[in-house]
Amino acid sequence: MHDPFLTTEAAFRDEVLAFVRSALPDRIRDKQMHHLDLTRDELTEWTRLLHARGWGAPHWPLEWGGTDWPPLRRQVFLDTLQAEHAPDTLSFGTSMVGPILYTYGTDTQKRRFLPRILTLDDWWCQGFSEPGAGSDLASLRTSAVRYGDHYVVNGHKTWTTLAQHADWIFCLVRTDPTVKPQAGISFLLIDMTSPGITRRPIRTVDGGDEVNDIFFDDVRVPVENLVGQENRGWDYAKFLLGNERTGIARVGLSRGLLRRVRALLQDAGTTAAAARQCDRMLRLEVELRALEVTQFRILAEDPALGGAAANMLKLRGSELQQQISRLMLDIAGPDALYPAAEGAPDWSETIAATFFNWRKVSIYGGSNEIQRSLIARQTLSA
Amino acid sequence: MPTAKETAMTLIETEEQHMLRYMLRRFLAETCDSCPAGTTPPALWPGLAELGALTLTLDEAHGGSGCGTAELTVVLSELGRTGTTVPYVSCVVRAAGLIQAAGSPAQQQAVLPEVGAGRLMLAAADGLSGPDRITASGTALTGRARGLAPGAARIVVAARDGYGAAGLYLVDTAAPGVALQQGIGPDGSANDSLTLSAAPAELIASGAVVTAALAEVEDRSTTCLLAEAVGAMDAMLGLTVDHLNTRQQFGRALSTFQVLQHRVAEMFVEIEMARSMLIHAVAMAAPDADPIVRRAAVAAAQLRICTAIRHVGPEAIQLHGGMGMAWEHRVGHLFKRTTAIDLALGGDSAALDRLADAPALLTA
Repeated sequence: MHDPFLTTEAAFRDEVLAFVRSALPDRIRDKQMHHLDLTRDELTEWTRLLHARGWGAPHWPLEWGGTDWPPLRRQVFLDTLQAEHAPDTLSFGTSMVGPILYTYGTDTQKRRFLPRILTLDDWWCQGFSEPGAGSDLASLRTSAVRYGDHYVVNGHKTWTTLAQHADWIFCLVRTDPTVKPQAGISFLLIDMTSPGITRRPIRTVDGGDEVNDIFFDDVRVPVENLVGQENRGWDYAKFLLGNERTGIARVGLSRGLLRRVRALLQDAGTTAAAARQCDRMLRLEVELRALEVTQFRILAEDPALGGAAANMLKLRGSELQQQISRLMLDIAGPDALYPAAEGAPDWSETIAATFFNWRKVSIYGGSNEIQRSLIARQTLSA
Repeated sequence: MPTAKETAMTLIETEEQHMLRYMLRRFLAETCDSCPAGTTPPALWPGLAELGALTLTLDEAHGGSGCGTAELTVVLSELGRTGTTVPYVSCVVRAAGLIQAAGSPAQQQAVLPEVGAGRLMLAAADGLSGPDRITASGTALTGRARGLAPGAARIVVAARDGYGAAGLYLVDTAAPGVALQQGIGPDGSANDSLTLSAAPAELIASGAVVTAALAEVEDRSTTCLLAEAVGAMDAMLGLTVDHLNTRQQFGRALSTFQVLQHRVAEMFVEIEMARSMLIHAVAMAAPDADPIVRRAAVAAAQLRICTAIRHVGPEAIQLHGGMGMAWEHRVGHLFKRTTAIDLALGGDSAALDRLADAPALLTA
């Protein structure tokens, strides 16, 4: 069925589909479909396959290995890969510190770091949140005091995703405690092998360990690792956080999940319970379509939407992802409760953990409460 | 050569549609803003005719501009914002649409220009589905129908003949055996109920062309009603925002309370999701669209928009506090109008029924 919203990108979409169906290794696809964590090597393998195709970071400038694709093409690319259960490239590198560096970094920093992000030779993690600074990130207290040619960093970052694999961390640090909070923050790149850094895993409710506490105890960081100007870090952070206008809705991921749900329900027969689950699936499919069209409207810069459109996508995209996991858990039913029993399908073994883990999606990336406040600010000032 | 962005924008709103929208908005503001809530100014229908708004989808031979569903949704969403009730969908989209799709050149010529000029009220009676049935014995029609455009001079009737085949017939309301009963719906809209007792009728068409015409017109009418509902929801949100920003309690504007901020945010999001599904339905209604795919797209839009209606309407009243309960306040009439639209379409329930049998919305 032809999707008119692909407009000029229908042929490109087919090209991406053909690529991912042949190039994505089966064992990586299987892990993704079971929501299992990939090893560093596995993500690196896929990252390098994309990079070899010239598709490692399509939103980057051409000179640093990106493309000149228009926004719609970039979104079609991302959504198509996600719907085919391909892992995203490591966002901390390709979508966060990478764009910061090619926008605000020195030539030396760009040459040193950007190519190694594309090959995943450097694994980056994000040092933003702190125990006392979540939604109120500007209140962060990790300090960086300058002593000539280096900073000394002290503090505690938390919820640091996949730091166990990380070579580098980009941090928001306080370089001036005397001014209003947003005006005293700097953006610092820190080598994870620096003396004084301690990593402690955090066990999350689903039993996984994807996030960490990172402690900085008199860590020396060369001044060359400051990005941009001292005390302008908050501006760079806003740039970074505002960059991902549409990707955070993960509509491609939800599309792939709903196709699986439909396949599961097709085999489920015609019981009353299956009929009710079908109704729920239909509602979720329609919700996904509404999100896709809204995303398309954002890319087309529909003036009716306003700047809060990305907030709306994050809000509803995260809720959709959670609702899909809820439906999948219900479809699994007793198979999710008794995963060791004979006859339980593979996928039902991990669905409960996935359901619990995905409670995070309405919390991270700007909690849904913050998203509603931002949407309201626009609506009430209209 | 249009840019990718310009191409994309044409699926949302073209420049011509934008101009149509703002021309209508100005006209409707002048005509309707000062009329009391819950009323429809008599000047509205003739005014729409004069603007050419009743002939948009007629072909040029009958005085129209050959526009499609997209333009109709612009008209209906602007009408929806006003909260007035005119028989645009029942007369222009449904009844005239059936004549256009299935009528002979002579029938089209006799009826369509008059409808477009606002001089002929044409109604449609569905005698095929629902609890009402109309049967044709030769060209004599017997049975009942509801929800007709009020005060019609002619009626397009869908009826089954003795073999169970569907046919379309044209009835003159002055003919013997035709009884029309006036009624007012809970949203204040006038509508007629029809009783036919061996009423003489003129055949418009029978056979496959009737089924195809009915399906096409049904989808377009549904899309138009959904557009009207989106416009009404826009108006409800606008009134709510104004109220929250102006009304003070406990020494400050209601809009400074976070709970109310979040509820207004949810209203905004619901309306934008609804609007996106309307855009989807219109995009899938291209003239060369597969009717099965088109029908599924309209059902999907109905599911989402009726869900939004059931959230936005009550929230709009609630956020107005006691004032939302006053007859004089527009918000209540907009809520009643969207409730009536939801009821007329069968709500999210009827949409789910259609989607259950439809091809999958999301394909590879």
